[in-house]
Amino acid sequence: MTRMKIVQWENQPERFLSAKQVLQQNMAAEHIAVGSAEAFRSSLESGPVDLVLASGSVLADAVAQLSALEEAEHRRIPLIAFVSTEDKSRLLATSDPIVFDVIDISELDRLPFSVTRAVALNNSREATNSELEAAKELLLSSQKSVAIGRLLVSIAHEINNPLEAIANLLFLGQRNVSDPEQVARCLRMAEGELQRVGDITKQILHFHRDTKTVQEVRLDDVLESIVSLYRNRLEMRQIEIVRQYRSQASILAHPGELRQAFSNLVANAIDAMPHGGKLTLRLRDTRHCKPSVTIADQGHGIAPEALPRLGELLFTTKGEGGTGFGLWVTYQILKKYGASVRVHSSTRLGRSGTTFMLCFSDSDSVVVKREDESLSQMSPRDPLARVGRDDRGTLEGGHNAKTA
Amino acid sequence: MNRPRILILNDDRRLLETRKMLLQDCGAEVFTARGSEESLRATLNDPVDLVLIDATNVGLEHGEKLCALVKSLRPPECIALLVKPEIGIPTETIADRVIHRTGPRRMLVEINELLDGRLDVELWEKKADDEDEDRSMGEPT
Repeated sequence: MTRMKIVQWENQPERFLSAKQVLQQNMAAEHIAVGSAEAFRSSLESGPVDLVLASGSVLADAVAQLSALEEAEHRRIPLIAFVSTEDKSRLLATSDPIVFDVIDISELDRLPFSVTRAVALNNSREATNSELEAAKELLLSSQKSVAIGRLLVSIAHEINNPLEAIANLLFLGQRNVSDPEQVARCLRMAEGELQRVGDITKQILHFHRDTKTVQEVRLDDVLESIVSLYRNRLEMRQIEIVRQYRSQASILAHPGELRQAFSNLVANAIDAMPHGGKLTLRLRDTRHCKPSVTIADQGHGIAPEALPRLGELLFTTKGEGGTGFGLWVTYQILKKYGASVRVHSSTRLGRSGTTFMLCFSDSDSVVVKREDESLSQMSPRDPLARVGRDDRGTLEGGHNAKTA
Repeated sequence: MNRPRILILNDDRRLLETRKMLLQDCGAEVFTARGSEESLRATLNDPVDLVLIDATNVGLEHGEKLCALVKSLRPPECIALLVKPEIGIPTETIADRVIHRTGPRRMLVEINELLDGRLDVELWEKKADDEDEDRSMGEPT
């Protein structure tokens, strides 16, 4: 069994000796006494410490040092205040989470039990934190897998049609081998389809090429690369693109991240319009948003009860067809760049649609502010995200954005 | 023999065109429409022998909706539903036949069966027979 290391910051030698005696009788522990802030800091830096005992006069300093350590190294060392009887009632009123227990000299018998419990609970907490970190890593890794999966699906989806068209044309050419004109026509068309496959793969690979460095990224370029990527799907669904680029703003960012964030919104808009409609891409500078990006569709809209959950991990409105990752990833990326999100959606027949308004701004006084308590409660995962419903009982006032 | 009349529903214009050429080459009279309910309604004025719905493009759920619409508007018409080869054949489908989208040969054979052999696939069948013959000749005895 490993020996526990206990550091006691104490100015009264007799109190240290009492504690040491009772602890040695009950557990295997290395017990060190320190008498100054410097010595206390050195002892923390010299190696892992399992527990700190501190007297009332130095308690505030000890807590401050341990809090700083926790913040810097994400490692908590529990502390037990070992104090005089007079100090106890005063200290019990303090509730710093680092202070595990307050024991006065008359309760010395309780000290071994409290030390053992503090260390055990802290170890258990550390283990839980490690598991949480591991789960977070796994989640990020899953996110990458999902991104790769989406890339593969998108390649397969985009090139399957031209590939089958080529197969049809070659088959047709074989059937009509005695008709050179027909064969030549089929080959010409097949060549065109092959060109289409090449264009699609180039677009997809260019789109997903990521750079490791932050650079000035023009948002209209990002939006155009997404339109280019989804051109075939937009054309198939007869979706009209309405471009309203009124700003030439650029922001410092990883281009790939911005493409991923915006493309999820555009892909969702396309999915929402299986029978066509307008997809509006707006870029402009407003007083508080420089720039503001709007992506609006005329799709089926999002049910009011689903709006507050947008951006929640694994939440999807697409049933089995959705992963619940796309919008979550978008929200995480936008949050990283300090952008706020407003969503308006209507399911009203003939006026349905969804609008995402993204606000990039260095002025946080207005944009970051929560509009009311009920809103922040509705979207606890991201305090920057704001949700509104168009046309019916709007949840936020004072804005004039409408669905396209 | 009457030329079979086939309506193809697909959202990809170029794929639609090559499928049309293929089926026309096999003697069918071919009509095309986008994969929306509106375009389907607009094209169902005249009866056809077969409606070919490509669920790989319009989505399986929407494909089934289109099947239901065809059955409600023109119950006697035969429906073939094209699905991705990687998914199983849906057990509960309104379509008369579900065809895995694996290329022109498979599609033509299955459609020809549905149309009771009314497609002119003789050239292909002859070629396939020749290929079988070639293969059997090459096999060790």
